[in-house]
Amino acid sequence: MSLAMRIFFFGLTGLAAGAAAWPFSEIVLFFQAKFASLLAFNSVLGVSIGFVMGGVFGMSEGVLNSSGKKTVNGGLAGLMVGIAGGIAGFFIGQAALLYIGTRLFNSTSAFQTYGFPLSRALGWALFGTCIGAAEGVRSRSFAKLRNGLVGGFLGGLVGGLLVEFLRILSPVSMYARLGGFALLGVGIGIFYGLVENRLAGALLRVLNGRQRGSEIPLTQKHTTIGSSTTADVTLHGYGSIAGAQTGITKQKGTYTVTGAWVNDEKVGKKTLHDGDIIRAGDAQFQFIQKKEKR
Amino acid sequence: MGKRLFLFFSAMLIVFAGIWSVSAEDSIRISQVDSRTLLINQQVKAYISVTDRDGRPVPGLGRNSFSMSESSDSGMVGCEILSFQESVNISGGINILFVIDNSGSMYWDSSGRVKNSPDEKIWRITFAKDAVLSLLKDMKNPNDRAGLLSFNVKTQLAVRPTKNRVEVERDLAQIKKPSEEEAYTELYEALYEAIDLLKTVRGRKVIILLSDGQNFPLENNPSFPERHGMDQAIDFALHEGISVYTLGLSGRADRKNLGSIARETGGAYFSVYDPKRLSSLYFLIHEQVMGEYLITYRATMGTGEKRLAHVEYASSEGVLSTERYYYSGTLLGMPQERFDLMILLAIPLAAAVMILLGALKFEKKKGVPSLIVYRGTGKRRRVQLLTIGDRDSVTISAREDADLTITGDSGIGGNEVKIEKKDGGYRVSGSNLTVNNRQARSRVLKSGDSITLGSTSVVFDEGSGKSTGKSSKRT
Repeated sequence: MSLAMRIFFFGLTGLAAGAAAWPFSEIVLFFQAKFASLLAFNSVLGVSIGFVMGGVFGMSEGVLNSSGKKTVNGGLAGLMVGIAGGIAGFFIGQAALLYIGTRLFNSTSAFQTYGFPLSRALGWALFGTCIGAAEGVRSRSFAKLRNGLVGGFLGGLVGGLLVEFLRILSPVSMYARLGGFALLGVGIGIFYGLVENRLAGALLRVLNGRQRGSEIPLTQKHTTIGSSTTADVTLHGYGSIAGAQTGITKQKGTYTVTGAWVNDEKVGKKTLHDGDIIRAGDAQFQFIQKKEKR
Repeated sequence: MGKRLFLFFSAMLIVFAGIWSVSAEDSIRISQVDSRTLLINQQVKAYISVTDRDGRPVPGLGRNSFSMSESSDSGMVGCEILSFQESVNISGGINILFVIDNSGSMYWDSSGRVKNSPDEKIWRITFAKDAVLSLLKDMKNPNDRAGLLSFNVKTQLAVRPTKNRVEVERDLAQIKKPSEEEAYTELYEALYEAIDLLKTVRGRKVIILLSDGQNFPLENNPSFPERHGMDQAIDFALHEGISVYTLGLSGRADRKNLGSIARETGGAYFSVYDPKRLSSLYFLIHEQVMGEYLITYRATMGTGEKRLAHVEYASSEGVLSTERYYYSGTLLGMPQERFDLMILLAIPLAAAVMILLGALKFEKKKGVPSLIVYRGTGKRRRVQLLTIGDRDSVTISAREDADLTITGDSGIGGNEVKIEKKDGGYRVSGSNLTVNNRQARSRVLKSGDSITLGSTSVVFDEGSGKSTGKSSKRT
């Protein structure tokens, strides 16, 4: 899958994540008055929404790789960190909203017209940031954490603004929040892919076999490639490939490969240059670096 | 005897009625709602000011005199009072906004008989300015802030409360006699605007209104398209927890309105011609703020952007109540009024999207031997596919008669490579051949090998789902 396709794919999984989270939010909201405190209310919202969105995002990598095991493991890990992210997100978002809202409440009415919708959108953005960060925590990658933070913030902001905009158009529509959650999910997904694309100084293009044409962004400090589901890039349908023997390490803009053939030469460890052909088992890749450090 | 008794009871009645009326003229305000810890512990603090008709705080009230309630989805709900404190020390100083009438009548004398005297000393405005200056001197707490707003046909000189007294004094000096068209008195609208201005200021807030009390509005005044009147201005002040102290600047006819504005908002009325009493005004304001009661109570979980905190104060003579809104918005907003089970459909729909994405596989399961051409770099890169299929040989060059013609790449020149089927495999040959970044004259192609022609790479794929079995064997 090309990088553009990856963005589209992550956007779709985000849409699914948002849509799945929405009914849970409606159920919790419906019983707001029954909660003992605002803290309990927000915690339950955070748990239920973080659980769902974190789980779906965690599954996405496995789905992308068509790996059932990766889907299940990722999903389980995703919903665990999603719960943490959700609670943090709702707590921080609500705290910010109350802080700003109280100040706005004592401001002139002209200021309130824009202030209240904007502060709620900001609350959504903070919540989105935490949910987006959860995916980075799950994959234990600083780059993904950073991607998640940016994507979550922007997705949440856009989603929150949509909710506010729809609320103006139709105050009673229950679909406003569905739109908000969907956009939040799409935002996290797309920005995750986009920022991944941006941040990836280099990528591997799969040249042959079942995954021909796939472009693997090398955003992580260390990316492992192999047939094992524990590898960062799981390849199947290729012969003679080891579990996770091939690795690419990024250091100060320079990429080094271990356990592979480079330009038809068996290497223990080699610095990669743009255009290099890497072979792991039967799978062959081209290394593409956008800006090579000299 | 009977007549005497009657007189006695009548006298008693008057006395009691007097007590009754004094008590009934107490005033209660919520001067601040502090909801900062709402998210942490569900507690809200309300600062409550109870004053008598002279604006003095009523001390010694007990916890049992008060009850708190809040608006909820099902009407007002009583709230548990968690703690009660008297005379809480409030830091942060007091914000005093001087609202000065600068209408035509302010340039008359006190009695209103001398209307066009050139002698500034007898003008009402002169007394007003002197009163402000002396009050500014009384504000010794460095945290106190003073602001200024003057008005006639419209409001002018709106100075937000500042710690800089010199600034206020300078602005005060700028108040000049209005022209004839400006000489109207929009007393109540100006007061309403002053409260709106003070609303944006945090902390304890007080208005000192200096006027001769003669509301003289201009009909269809463009500055005030929406009229609120005195009652709405008073309500607004109460809702914002602002007490309005009034300073009368005319010998007569002003006590009624200025007096009731002050009494109903918990302030007090003063006459500017009674400097002795006036000198106690700042102290009175200070005393009122220091005499507040602090009630900490458990908030409800009602929905909505704002919530009404309602306090009732019961004395033996009657019940006084007041209320104030505070912000209680939640991230996701209002719930649905009726729960619609249809929304649950979103879950299977989302699951279907995920299953579909998983089923798509993004993989090429079957494939025939083919060549993929990657031209250019970055975003301009173009991908072209040529299936070799049953062909025995394929030629690649920039020439038009080649099987695969690559145009627009000047780096290729006259270079030509040829791929031939041989012994069940494919062999590539050419005069200036580069495969996998290595020079060669001729070699067997394995799946994934990349032939470089100029800046174009042509990648051979044997077809997927099938291993070559001869991995990494070089020729």
